[in-house]
Amino acid sequence: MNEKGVTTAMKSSIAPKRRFGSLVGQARMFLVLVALIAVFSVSSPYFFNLKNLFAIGLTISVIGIVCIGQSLILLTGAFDLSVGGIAGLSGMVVGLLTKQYGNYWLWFCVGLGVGTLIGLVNGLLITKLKINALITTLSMMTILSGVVYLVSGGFAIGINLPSFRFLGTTRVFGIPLPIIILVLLYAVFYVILKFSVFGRYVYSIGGNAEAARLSGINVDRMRILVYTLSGLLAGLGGIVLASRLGSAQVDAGSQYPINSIAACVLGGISIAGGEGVIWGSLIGVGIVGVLQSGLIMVGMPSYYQWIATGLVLLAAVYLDQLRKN
Amino acid sequence: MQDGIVLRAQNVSKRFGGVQALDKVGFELRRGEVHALVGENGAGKSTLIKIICGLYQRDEGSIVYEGKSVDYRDNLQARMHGIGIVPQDIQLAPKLTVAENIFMGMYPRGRMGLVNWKELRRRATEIAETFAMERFVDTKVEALGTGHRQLIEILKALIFETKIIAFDEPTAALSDEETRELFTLIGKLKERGISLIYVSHRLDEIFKIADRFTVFRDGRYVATKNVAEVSKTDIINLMVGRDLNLAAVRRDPSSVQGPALLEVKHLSNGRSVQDISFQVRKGEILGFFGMVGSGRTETAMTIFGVTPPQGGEILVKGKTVKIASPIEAVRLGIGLVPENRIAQGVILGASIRNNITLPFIRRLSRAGFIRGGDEGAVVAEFMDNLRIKAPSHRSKVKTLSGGNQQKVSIAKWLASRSDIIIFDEPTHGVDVGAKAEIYHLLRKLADEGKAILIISSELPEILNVCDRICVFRNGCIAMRFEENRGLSEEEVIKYAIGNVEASVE
Repeated sequence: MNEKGVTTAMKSSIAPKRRFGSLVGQARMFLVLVALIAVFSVSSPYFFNLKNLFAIGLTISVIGIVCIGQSLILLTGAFDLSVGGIAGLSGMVVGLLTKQYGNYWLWFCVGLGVGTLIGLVNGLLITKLKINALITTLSMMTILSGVVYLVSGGFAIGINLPSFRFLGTTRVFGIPLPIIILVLLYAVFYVILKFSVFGRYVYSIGGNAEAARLSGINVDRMRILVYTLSGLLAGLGGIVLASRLGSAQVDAGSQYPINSIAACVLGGISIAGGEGVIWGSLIGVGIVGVLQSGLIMVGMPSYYQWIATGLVLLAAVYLDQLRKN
Repeated sequence: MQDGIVLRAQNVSKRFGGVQALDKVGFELRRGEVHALVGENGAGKSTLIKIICGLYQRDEGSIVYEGKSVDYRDNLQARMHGIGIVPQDIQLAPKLTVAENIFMGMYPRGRMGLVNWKELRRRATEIAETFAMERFVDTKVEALGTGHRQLIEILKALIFETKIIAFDEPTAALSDEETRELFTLIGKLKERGISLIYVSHRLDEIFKIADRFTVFRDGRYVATKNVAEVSKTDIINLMVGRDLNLAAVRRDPSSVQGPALLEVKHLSNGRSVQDISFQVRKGEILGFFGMVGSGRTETAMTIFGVTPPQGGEILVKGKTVKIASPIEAVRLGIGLVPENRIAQGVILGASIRNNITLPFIRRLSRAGFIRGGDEGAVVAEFMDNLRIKAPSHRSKVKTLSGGNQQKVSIAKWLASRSDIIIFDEPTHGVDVGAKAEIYHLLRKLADEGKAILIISSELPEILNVCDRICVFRNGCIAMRFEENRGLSEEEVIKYAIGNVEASVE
């Protein structure tokens, strides 16, 4: 009878409040994005026009793609700090080989393969050798930036082949192709996470890996899979970036680890794992992108972006904790 | 002042999430008495002493200590006023010496605020002399056994002018020799006029050392009596209550004639499980009784593939199988409802629906995508079947009461149609109502043709529910009862604890 009392109490208060709370949380971040756009539109006459919004869209498209992989990994309760290194190396590999041999689309596939392979190695190190995920991907990040300098000799590789520039500069009905790719990928992963067995496993492992393991789920295999996917997506991001810029940069992606984590957490992906919706990451990416672009538009030197991003990440994690309680 | 009241708690309540751990309970402690707190798991004993010692804060009610109403914000404050606790899990710093541990948090200071080590040693030695522990003051705690560590906890309490010491299951991890020493020591503390609160599951101990006892049930106060005036049965009746139909779900094993679904031969894991052999037939409930650490849970974990076997054979439905991980166990139709529900049994942040279908979601999918309608139907069926009380199947498991969370942890194996289900402490932390419900459910499952294996440290539970019983001690099966008819608690328990009881008498 005591139990019945508890349940009735729950019925009337706890459950509906929680559901309402999470809705407000999602909508709130969207409002923050809108508010930021409004503030910068008022502060700078150059901010709110289609050209600049597309420019922001192009900037965030790359980090946005990287964020999908980061979201998958955060949802399982871990981190991937190597996304920037993977993006940088994949872009550089495609740039170097295309410059040497032409035949872009072949090297495009090789570049994706490189990203995928590094992700797979991350996953194997973490699950089979049981090295801490943070340390594994941190080490991988450092190793990869060294490798990029090694293969490139420290110079950017500029390329003007039309095929190399196709992904980054094509427009479909006036909309830049990277933005279309970004939105499509988010739609695909939204469906996968929400309706597939894979998605259910990702959330379960992040929610309680031990309970998932005792329910007969191959937790190691799933972890390897999400790191591999993150590698693939980071590789794609790096290749799109090189295509957009018309050159493979040696320091491309250096800010991606922090930016991607900040964006995901800002969008409501819990750092503890198991909770969050992938659309949130897109909103988070938008906030980070608008903030960085807007600060330049209002005449702030670029290093303010870094300070702002760091502060935003701290605020986002704090919000995450508030939500938890 | 022999009869004077040192501490009086009135209408104390405490709530953890969805669970009312204490509901307006009262408690009275006299000067120089040993007062036992009795009740089943989850009755509220530990919660009450933690509130008295400042480890938890009460939600309502009052505590009057030495004539003054008190409200301690932490354990240190309570200790400084003379209320000490010897916790169930002893928490000392293993790399520090006994002296350093005794004075943890209040090292004597010398000039410039630095620690006065000489003074620390001198005072530690003085206190340690009380129990002939002075030769250990410079020993690192890691070099000491459990019994001595417990003494350090007591010494910690004695650095202040202590009037009350609470013991939370002090003998759970002690050898019989150490238990005897502890009882002598409790006698000495009593002589000094210190009042002792003693929480224990072991009724024999209570008859041995306690003056009075208070019974809690389901977070409520039941009664306080003098130990000399009651029998063991009286206490058990008070603990369990008469309003419950807990008895008689056991069966006569001769009425169960199904084939063995699970058979284990000479299983060992190289450490805590040695040469275990048993079988569970279709339609029967086998019970594993034994103390914590006797190898029951470890055996289950080995069968389930969590810790792979080092020797022996496992047969499922007559076929020898290799189980290297839970993945294979689940595939073979074995389910495990683990002891630690929160850490291992359920995903608190996920919905009831996602928890229940997790082990077999693949079967509810096509081309990797979940068929929502089929999933919903299965979930509805089993929520209804097990009477899981929740606003909706989308409710997160963390919003449910302990009993309903446990039902979710059970439901996933029923819904996945496992034929062999292992329950490790199936009624830990669930209230009495849900307990009876779970017992009847276990019997129903056996009647439906499943093989059920129950691990429990609660003897009444084992005796009420199981058809056959294996008693574990030191990683081996010490005794098998091939039928559970007219067994007394003493008969079973003596195999679980060897000669402890005999030597304590």
